[in-house]
Amino acid sequence: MYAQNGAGLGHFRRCANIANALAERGGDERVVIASRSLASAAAFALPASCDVLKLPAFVPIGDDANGERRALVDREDPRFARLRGRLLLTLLAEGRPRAVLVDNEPRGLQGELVAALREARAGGLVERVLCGIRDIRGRPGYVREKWRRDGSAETLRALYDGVLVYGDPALFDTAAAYGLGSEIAVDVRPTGYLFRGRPERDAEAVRRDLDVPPGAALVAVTGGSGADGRPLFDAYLAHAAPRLGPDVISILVAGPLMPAADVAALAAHARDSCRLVRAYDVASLVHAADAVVCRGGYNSLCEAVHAGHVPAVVPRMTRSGEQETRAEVFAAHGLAAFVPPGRVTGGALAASVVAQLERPRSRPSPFDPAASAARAVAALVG
Amino acid sequence: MAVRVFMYAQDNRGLGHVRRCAIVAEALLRRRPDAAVLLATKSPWAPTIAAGERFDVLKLPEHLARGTLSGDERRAESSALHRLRRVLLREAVTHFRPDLILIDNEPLGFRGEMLEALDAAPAGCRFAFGMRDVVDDPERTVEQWANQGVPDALRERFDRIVIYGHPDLFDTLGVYGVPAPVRAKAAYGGYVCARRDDLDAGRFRAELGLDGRPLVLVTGGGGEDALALLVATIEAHALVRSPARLLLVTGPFMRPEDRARVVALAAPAGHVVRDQADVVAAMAASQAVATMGGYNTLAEAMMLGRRPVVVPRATHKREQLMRAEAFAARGLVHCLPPTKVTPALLAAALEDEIERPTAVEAHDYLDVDGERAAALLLETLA
Repeated sequence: MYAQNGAGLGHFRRCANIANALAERGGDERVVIASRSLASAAAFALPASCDVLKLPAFVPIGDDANGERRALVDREDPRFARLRGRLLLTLLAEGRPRAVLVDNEPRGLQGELVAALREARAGGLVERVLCGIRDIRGRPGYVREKWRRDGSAETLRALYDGVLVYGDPALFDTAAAYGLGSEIAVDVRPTGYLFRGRPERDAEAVRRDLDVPPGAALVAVTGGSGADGRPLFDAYLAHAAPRLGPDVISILVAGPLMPAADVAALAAHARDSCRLVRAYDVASLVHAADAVVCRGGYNSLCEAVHAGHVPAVVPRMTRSGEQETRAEVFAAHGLAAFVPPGRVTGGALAASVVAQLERPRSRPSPFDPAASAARAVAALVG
Repeated sequence: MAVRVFMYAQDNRGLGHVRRCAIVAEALLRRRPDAAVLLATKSPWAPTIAAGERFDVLKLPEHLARGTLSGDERRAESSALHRLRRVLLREAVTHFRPDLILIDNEPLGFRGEMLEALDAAPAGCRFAFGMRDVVDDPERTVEQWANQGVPDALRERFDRIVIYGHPDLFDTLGVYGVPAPVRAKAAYGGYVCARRDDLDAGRFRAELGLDGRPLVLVTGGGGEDALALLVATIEAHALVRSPARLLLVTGPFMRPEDRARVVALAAPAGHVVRDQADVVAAMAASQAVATMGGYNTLAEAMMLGRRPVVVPRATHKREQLMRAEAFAARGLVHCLPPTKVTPALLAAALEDEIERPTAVEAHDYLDVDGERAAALLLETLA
């Protein structure tokens, strides 16, 4: 499996989920996850049949053209991309895997997978090559154009046997939207939404951990990994928190990637009823919460909806439109309340939180993540 | 990046070698702002270094399917993984094109897995071998080295041998019969440990709620075989006249059933049990220390001027016993060989430290922050 995140931990987590589902079947499969990230390997319990090849990267962190702080991949010495390519090819040539699963980027980050996949296919080193993608990668026009331009479309056609879609066509028809199986001739299989369904801690433990008194309502406010969570938290503190009753406790999870200066600034505005925690298991928090405010990331949204919430979603606005599209789609199916970032300063955010608190959550989850993982496993080794 | 350094650190599940290599890497990067370091290891515990884009880790797959295989299957799998690692290491060196390769602990890597990588190094690349003070029983080590071709490698391939130890404590070169031509390339750097300016004994003690009672730190490194020490110390505690409390650090690798036993024994006396702890901070806050003879713990004890009570690891490997005896000969530790230790002897040694605390003067033996090791390595590039 190849799991490479630009930022955040979502891809690695998804591969770990599938590796666990594979191990639970009790077969004799072995899994190696190739990733640039290792901090995450310790954080997610991998089964005994799985280990990590951590690819080295020497990428500077800095401000990009939009002034956003991120990994500046094109400033890396090109020798290191070649080095990773060779390591990936070695893994395929020596490991001779039955199946390869590439998460989200068919070409790998910086295209580092292409040469290895091409050689592996030409040499018959692997039986099956699959790409797993999230339900939504962005607006259809944007994604089609990007895939055509960056070679992803051609790579999918030439080097892949199939695409697993971690989504549900009843919510969003990923294949039709992006031309998979039509313009891009490749087999497509939806697996259903695939994420970690079981929280680590039960609701009582969460309330104890976070010192939430009995009888108080708990609002979970999460910004994903936290790299750009600050505006959501600022808006929540300024415009939503003051409109909530005294028996409502809001927990804001900064996320591991939030810059220290932002954490300090937010902590200064925290008060008893509205607290900032640096990191907490979000699936557990959301499970214990009475209302949820989140961004439109795949895992955040799935976890909140799975726990029975109709979360208030303030999507991250990017050129791809991924989170915005997901928020719209989920809202159209009554699974979320879409709060455009421009409207958080009004009463929309507070109104959505109040509505969640007034209506007890009882709706059964539309997702079955265990069945989704089983479908992914069947596609890999079935 | 003008100077590229490739390091190979040999840890399976532990982190002692990786930690030491990371300290040395950081010193190298401080001294040479134009350098980059790539650290290859099997350990899943990636060090974090304040050098961002100039440092990264290549984590090699270690073993898959722990414990579920027959002897033959395990051998086949381990040899396949060994082959995979050899090629990964070769490819990494081929494409990283290092100016210096530092191999830690075994000159040719685990079962010779660095051999092909050494052959793939570019012309002009320097080779260094970094070793701890003590390897194992001299006869056995010399025999093993002869079987693995180590003497030839040290004579012909390596430009420098850095010993992370001090000849006044342990005569590494003499004990292992290193011949004169190799000795000329060897130098002692001192015991490597990381400087700590952030220690706050008062706060640490306050958090444990000690209320003026003496604290005894009990630590057995990673914890795989620390049960005997922890149990013996709990038994010894009953014989200690002072009202001391124990802080028992089981280590991340202790078996769950062993840990449960420690918890059950420790609970009635109100001792504190932790999986992991900042051992240096705990040592600074304690009145006495009981430990096994691991390299890092003893170096850290010297840095803090402490005289720990050492019950070395009792296996066929004599490394810890030899180190503990060498340190005891200089009055740096109380050494209680595992075959002779009794709760009464352990209690007497701990009580001695609690009642007559000795500040040992051992700074000359140390290489704080790996500065000397880094200087010795960089000399080879001149």
